[in-house]
Parts: sequence; structure tokens; C-alpha cells
Amino acid sequence: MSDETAAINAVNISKNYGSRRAVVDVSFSVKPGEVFGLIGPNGAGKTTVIRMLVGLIKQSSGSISLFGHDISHDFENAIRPVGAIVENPEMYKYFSGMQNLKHFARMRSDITDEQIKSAVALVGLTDRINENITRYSLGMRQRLGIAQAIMHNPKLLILDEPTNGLDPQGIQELRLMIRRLADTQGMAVLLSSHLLHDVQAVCDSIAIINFGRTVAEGSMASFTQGKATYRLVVSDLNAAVSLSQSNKWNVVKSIEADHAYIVESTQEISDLNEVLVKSGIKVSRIEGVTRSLEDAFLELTNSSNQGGAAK
Amino acid sequence: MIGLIYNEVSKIVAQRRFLVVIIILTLIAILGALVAKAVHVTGQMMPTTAAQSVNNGISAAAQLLFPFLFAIIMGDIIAGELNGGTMKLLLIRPVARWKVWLSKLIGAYLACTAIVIYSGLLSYVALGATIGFGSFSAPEGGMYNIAASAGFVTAKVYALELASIFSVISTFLLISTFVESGVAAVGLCASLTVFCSVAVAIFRGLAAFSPRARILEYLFFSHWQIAGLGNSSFPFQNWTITGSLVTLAVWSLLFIAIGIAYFKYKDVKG
Repeated sequence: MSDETAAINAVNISKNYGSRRAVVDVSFSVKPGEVFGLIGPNGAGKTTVIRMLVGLIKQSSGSISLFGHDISHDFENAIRPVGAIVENPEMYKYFSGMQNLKHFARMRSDITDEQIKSAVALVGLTDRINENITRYSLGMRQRLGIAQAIMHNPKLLILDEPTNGLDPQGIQELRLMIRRLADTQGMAVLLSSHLLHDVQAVCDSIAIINFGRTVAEGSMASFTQGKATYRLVVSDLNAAVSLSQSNKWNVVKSIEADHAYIVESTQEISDLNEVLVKSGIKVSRIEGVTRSLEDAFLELTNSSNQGGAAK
Repeated sequence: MIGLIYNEVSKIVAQRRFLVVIIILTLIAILGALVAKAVHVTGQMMPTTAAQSVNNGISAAAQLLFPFLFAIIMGDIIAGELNGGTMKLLLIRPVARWKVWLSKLIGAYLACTAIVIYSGLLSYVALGATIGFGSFSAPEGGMYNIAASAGFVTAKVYALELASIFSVISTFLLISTFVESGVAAVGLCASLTVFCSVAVAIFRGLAAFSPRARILEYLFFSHWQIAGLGNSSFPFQNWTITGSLVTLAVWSLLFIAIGIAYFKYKDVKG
């Protein structure tokens, strides 16, 4: 966590609003070239974390550094290599798309007209960029927001719900763009989204936040490939479930209508099969089940829900 | 910093209400010139020229009209961006917050100064077309009726008005920093303008009866009408131009310091 070359290094950050603790001791690190997903239910504290990362709100405790620069004490150097969308990218309604981009470009000295045009082309707005943005759809405004975030070729891109308003094609293009920026330019990307499928498709690592606390953090593989999970169809469901549990297999779900149940363990499935067959239970099918991020997310957030809100 | 100031001026000018303000001032200037012509024709006023009387319009407008119009065009310069959601895009750039705040102050000041200058030029042209342009080296023939040249008096009235604008703008910007609704900020600024105009008249009356009431002469808005009340009679007795300007400057600097300090540490949630 003390790596100064990390694109983001957040250490035990908390945010209190009076007695309410919106974020509690959240820590994570994002490396250059890494696409990091920040996921959690609505109101979990994702946007509060992002607002602290970009200096819009001050953390009550903890520290945030971007590329080794502390956001509280060295804001300008910390934020210089960062492009961001925080919630909906609201723009000036009395300006055209291009006027909006030039307005933000004037706030720094390192953006050329060519870079602006390139960003506009990348988000597919070249034909409409000179129109007043009141004529833009929500998806087009989102694209314009992405253009303002990438026009200075940032080394860190922070995207808070960037797929809001995008159509399926736009979502896929955004996904490909994020992956391309990370893989070819070494850009670090922090992506906050409630669309777990998108996060799973594009992220290398994730942190799950619930009630303002980090519930889990790790590589995507550690969430989706952890324990081996199987679906078994058997002749006697209750006996099979009981026998599995006594042999230290975790029964995730049993489906009585199908005489099927799902188990997970680090043990070999052939060992369980042998136990079942020796006990006179007929096993008509064993199939591997791919664990999705959604499964992991629901499991982790449900267990943290039982713990209750941050106090 | 120049880019930031350019941004702020362009945002004020691009809004429709700026055009509305320009139209209002244009109509007032034309109407004023027509009234001046009628007064001259009926012989109710000493014959003067545009050069001799152009400062009268600015003096009159400085008391209530200009601050009211400034409230409309820049009262929400910060609050509007906070509740409109654009402020967060401004504050995630490598620019210190105090620079963002200061650029809004300077941008608003430039836009409001441009309005006053436009209004003066238009009045001069409109008056010139109706009662003749005349010479600025002629004695001032308007409300001050003093021996100084019309050009000197006009320059003095404008210079005092520019000082007053700075005080008005810094007050409005402070309000806009603390209020998170654009509409509420404009409403507060406009209401304050009317209140201050009435309050100064009351203070003037109170000061005549009670020496203790003279403390009110040190309030932030007591000298906003510095340009409108002429060379010889300031808002309150025993005040000099220097005294009025220092009072305006002290309050303006205080408001700027408070505004920047608050804005620097403000959590931007909208």
C-alpha cells in the first residue's frame, strides 16, 4: 500500500458527515495499466470514495496519493495526470459540445486542438460536436463527458458509472476503449459501476464496498475462479446434501424439483462422487459451474448486510 | 489565469439573460434620450449637450439599476455551477480552488464593467443624436452643476462606479459561495440590492438625529452609491472620497478572504 508509483494509493480513508460514517477505513491500490472496478450496492459509498480521490470532498481521515502526490497537500500535481467523470457529466447548456471541451481545455496548458479532435473522434461525436448540447441525448452527453476526461491523455482515468445512458453498442465500445487504453497506453482506470457484467468483462481487479466498508478486494480471478463449483443431479437429494456437508463440501444451493444441488470446495469432485456412490446414491450428472462476479458480489454483500450499516 | 477569466466572461456573456440586460439598458438609453429631447424642447431645463449630461444617467443607474442587473447576470456564478453539477468538472482540473474563485470575481467584474461602459457609450450616442454631442471640455452642466469640465466629471463618476462595482460583485460572489441554489442566490442578491438602497436612505435620516447611528455608515453597502451621489454630497456628511473608497475596499477584501477560505475547503457534493 505504500507503493509511490501506484496510480492510486488509498489508505484507510474515511468520511464522516456529522455522526454518520459514509466511508470507513477503505484501502486499495491501483497500478498503472490496471483496470480496477469499484462495485457495491446503491448508497454503498462508491461515489463518496471517488469524490475523495479527485479532491471534491476532503477525507475525514486516511490518505490518498495519486502517482505519489498526496491529494490533500499537493492537489495540482496529484490531479494533473487524471481524467474523470463523477456521476453524470453535466455540461454548460448554453455552449456547444466543442465549446464545452475548449472551456475545460483552457484550464490547463497542455491540450492542443488536435488532442480535442482526437478525443471527439474516439467517442464518436465528430459529426455533432458543434451542436448545442441541449440537442444531445443522454448517451451523447455521456460520450462528451468521456471526451473531456481523456482529451489530455491522462495516466489515470476515473469513471463513475460511465455507462449511464449508453446504448448496448456504446457500452461495448466503451468497454473496448477502456481495455485498449489500459493495454496500449498503460493507463490506469478506476471504474465504478453497478453493471457487474461490464465490470467482469473489463476489470483486472475489484474492490467491493458495502455500507462504506471494503467487503473484499482482489484480482478478478480470485472472485470468479476461487473454489471449484459443481452441479450434481442425484437420486436422493436430501441424503446427498447431508452426505456432502458431512464431507466438508459447502452446499451453495439445492433445487428439489430437479433433484440437483450445487456444491463448492477445494477438494476433488471425484472423491465426493465416490462417497455418494458408495452410499447407494445414484449420480446421474456432474457439471462444472462457472462462478460469476454477480455470485461473488451477492454472496459478499449479503453476508455484510447481516453485519449492518457502518456505525 | 487568463484562460480561467476568459472562461468566466464567456459563460456570463453566453447566457440569454446577459442579452436581456443589454436590451433593457438599450431601451433605457433610448428612452432617456427621448425624454431629454422633450425636456429641452419644452425649455424645462438648461440647454446641455450629451457630453455635459452623460454622467447623469450613470449616476442615476448606479443607485439601484446596475446592482440589480449585476445580481441577475452573476448572482449564481458559483451557486449555479454547484447545483447544476458543472462545478465538479471545474474542480477536478490542476487549478487551485482560490484561482477558480478569483477568476469568477475578475470575470464578473469585467462583464459588469463592460455593461456600465456599454450603457454610458450608448447613452452618449443616443443623447448626442437628440440634443447634440457637445464638447467634454465644456463645464459640466448636469446634476452637479460645478465648474469642472464635463469630461473630468464623467471620468470621475465612472471611476467611482468601477469601485462600487467591485464592492457589489465581491458581496454577490460571497453570497453565491454560501448558497447552493442558483435561483436562491440570484434572488438573495437582487433582494439585497433593493434592501441596501432603502436602508442607506434610512441610515442617512438616522444619522442626522443620532450620532450613534453613524456606525451604520461603515456598513459594507453604505457607500455603494458613491458614484450616484456626486462630488459634493456623499451618502453621509463628513465623508471624503478616500474615506468611502477605503470603506468599500476593506469590506471587499474581507468578503474575498472569507469567500476564498470557505470555497477552498468546501465539500462539493452536487
